Amino acid sequence: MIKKITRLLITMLPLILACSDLEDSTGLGRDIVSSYNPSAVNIDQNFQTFYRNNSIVTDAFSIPDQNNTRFGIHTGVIAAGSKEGYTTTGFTEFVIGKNVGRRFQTKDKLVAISLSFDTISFGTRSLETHNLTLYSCSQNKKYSRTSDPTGMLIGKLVRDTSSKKLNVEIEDSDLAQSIFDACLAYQECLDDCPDKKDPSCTNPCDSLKSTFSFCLFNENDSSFVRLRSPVMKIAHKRTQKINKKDSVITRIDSLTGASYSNYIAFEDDIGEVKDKPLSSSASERTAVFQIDISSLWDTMSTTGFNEILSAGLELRPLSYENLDKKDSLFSVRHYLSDELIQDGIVLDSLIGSGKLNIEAEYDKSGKMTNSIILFVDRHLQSLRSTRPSTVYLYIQVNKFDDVKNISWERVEWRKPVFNVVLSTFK
Amino acid sequence: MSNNKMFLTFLLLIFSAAIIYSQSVLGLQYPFGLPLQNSNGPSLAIGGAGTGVADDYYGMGDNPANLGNVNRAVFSAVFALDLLNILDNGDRTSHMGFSPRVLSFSFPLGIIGSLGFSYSQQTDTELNFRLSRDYRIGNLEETEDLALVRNGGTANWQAGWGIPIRKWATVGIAYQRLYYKSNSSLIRKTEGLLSDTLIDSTRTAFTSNGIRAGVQTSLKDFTLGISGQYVFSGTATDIRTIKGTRVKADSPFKDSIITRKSSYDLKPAPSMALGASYRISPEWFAAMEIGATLWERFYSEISKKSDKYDRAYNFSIGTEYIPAPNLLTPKYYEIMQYRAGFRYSQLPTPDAAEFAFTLGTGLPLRDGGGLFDIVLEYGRRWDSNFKNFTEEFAGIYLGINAGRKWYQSAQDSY
Repeated sequence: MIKKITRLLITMLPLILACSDLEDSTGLGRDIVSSYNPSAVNIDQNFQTFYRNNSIVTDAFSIPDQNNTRFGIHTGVIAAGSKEGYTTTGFTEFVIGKNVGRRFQTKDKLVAISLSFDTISFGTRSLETHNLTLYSCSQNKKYSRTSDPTGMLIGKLVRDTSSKKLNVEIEDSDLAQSIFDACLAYQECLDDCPDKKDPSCTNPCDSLKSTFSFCLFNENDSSFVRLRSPVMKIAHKRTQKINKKDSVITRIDSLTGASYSNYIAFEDDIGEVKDKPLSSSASERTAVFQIDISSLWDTMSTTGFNEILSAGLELRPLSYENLDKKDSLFSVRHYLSDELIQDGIVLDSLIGSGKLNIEAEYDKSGKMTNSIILFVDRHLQSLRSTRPSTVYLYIQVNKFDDVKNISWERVEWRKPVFNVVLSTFK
Repeated sequence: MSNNKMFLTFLLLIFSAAIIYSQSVLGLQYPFGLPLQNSNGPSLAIGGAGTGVADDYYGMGDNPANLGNVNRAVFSAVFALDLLNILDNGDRTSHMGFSPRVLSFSFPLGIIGSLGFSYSQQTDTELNFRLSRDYRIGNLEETEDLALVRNGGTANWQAGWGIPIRKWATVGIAYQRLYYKSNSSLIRKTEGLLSDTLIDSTRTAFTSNGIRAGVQTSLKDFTLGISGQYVFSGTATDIRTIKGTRVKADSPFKDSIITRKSSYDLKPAPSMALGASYRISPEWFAAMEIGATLWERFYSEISKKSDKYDRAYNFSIGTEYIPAPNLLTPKYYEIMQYRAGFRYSQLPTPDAAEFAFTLGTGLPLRDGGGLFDIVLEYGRRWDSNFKNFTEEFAGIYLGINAGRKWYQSAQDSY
């Protein structure tokens, strides 16, 4: 009997559940809910919308507007050359300290020092026709935006016949010797310590460091080359004892990787583009909209809605261009501030890593039809205490994927419209 | 399929239903949510009129003095499947929920009486109230959602002791630990191209100690019982958290959370019950109970509504019929226990009450090893202050009472 009843329940229960119109929430009993929390039953008391068309955009332009700013810095690889209105220059530096110095002995003799670059891409031209020259330059050229070579010429990069590597030897004996001296400095310092296990004597040796910086220029106006971070090859001779005789001299090639490399990309004529709300991935050109949001604060004051539940700027691209023409995908990053930021590195630290991926779409007449929402509620929340009347919207574009690779997206934007949903807390 | 497998399948089906929650709007008004029936299975089937019933399957849920009647180890569990229709001015929404309601274990210790341990779910604060509207802002299509979401309830852990006094009475006392946890959130959500959520939630926690005591006395076939419960005042904690949650997964910004904490004194309401039962014949048995929860003694340091609660009386009555309890070789349906009951309970606010009819059957397990209870309940609850609003509820309670074999093996060794 109990088996039959259990079987009946097993059969009936799913039927009952399937036939019933079950819901996970109710909107009934408003009067009762209101007696518990009056604001839980009135949508009007909880939401207030705010809309402004693009008339509140009081200016539209792009930064940088001059060349002494730190925009367009791409680290990890080197690029040099020109491409359709853009110029890039490379920078690399080697830090020689304990890790390099421990490979040397104080009686080692310098043979030669050279730098070797692996190529990533060099366009359709043959590698030999590119006119890449390396200069010894100071560290303050790290973010330099100039196509004019500066510093002491090291030499032209020459292709290794057996590979796609480009090499240059440091022929200036003073520079080569100073690099080599830096390599020996660690061991020489240790040799001065009577007790090599005494940290008070050896610790200063560990912190010995010398930095050597180099700038790479492409003196051919129409070519563009991308290179990996270089390696420094230090060839030296060493006297070794065999059968207690100092008779054998061995050549040793010590390889040292660059500690930092970058390339800077910038427009050839900034004056031509700085007055347009234009975002460019290669030069990190950033579109800026100056927006008068005083009416938002006025609305919040007069209505009592003190919380910005959601806020977005609806933005449409006017034109999209990709010099590589490989795809129509790009990503957008944005930031809203009450300050006009002119430093690329500062802006980069503020703009965050979040991005909005977009595929360019067009109507039949060729006009772009994309419409994107840039969320700015959290930015506005941070401005609630000061309530600035003017804010600046910064928009950058970048490659769709995260692969470290130069990209050539360029987007000009229409003025945005402003949508906000306000809420309140009691 | 074996009995065990079928039972497990059945439980699995029931547990799968637990993702849908039953709820009560009226429960919003009460300090700890909606009071629940938390007796053992046989008592539920007679409307909860178990205070005056001397039967070990009734456990200590209605009266700790019943522990004095325990002469074998008994394990009991009750699971409840709740179905609810909320009716308001001709509109209706339907909801369902599932929860374990009672777990108890009691065993005799010879001349020093019996011990019992139990867990029961005493109240439920579940509610998912939601309003929604669509609108346009600029060129955007948006939906605004406003929701009051509440969940939690009161769990009661007890340890009790009962002993018979000669042959005419039993007494029992129990220590109880009360845990009340509830989370109430007001959620404002905008969906569409501008998608964001703002959650203002308050998590309340209250823990306190209490005592229960009871007496049962029997004269021939008549049993009278009285029990009471007192919970000491304690400190409740409210943690209010305000946070925004970006719905879009690619949001570049994290939300800051605002947290405020407050503590206050809270004293639950005491309660008492008087019950009686009478064995009319070997086949028939009847029980009734009246009780009161003294909500006027409830105190909350921060609530302005304490004075609106009033003493809540309850009344229940039920009967049991076994066709052939004393036959040596009965058919199975002749030893099944058929039960019916009715209960009426006032709720903590003066004009609110509920009634329910119950029907149940106790299915004896093989070799007298226990009882499987199936109890069906139908009822309504209302508050006269809210015209045209009613909550119509139905419940399926499944109870298992077992332990005889465990005890017998111990007895065999004497």
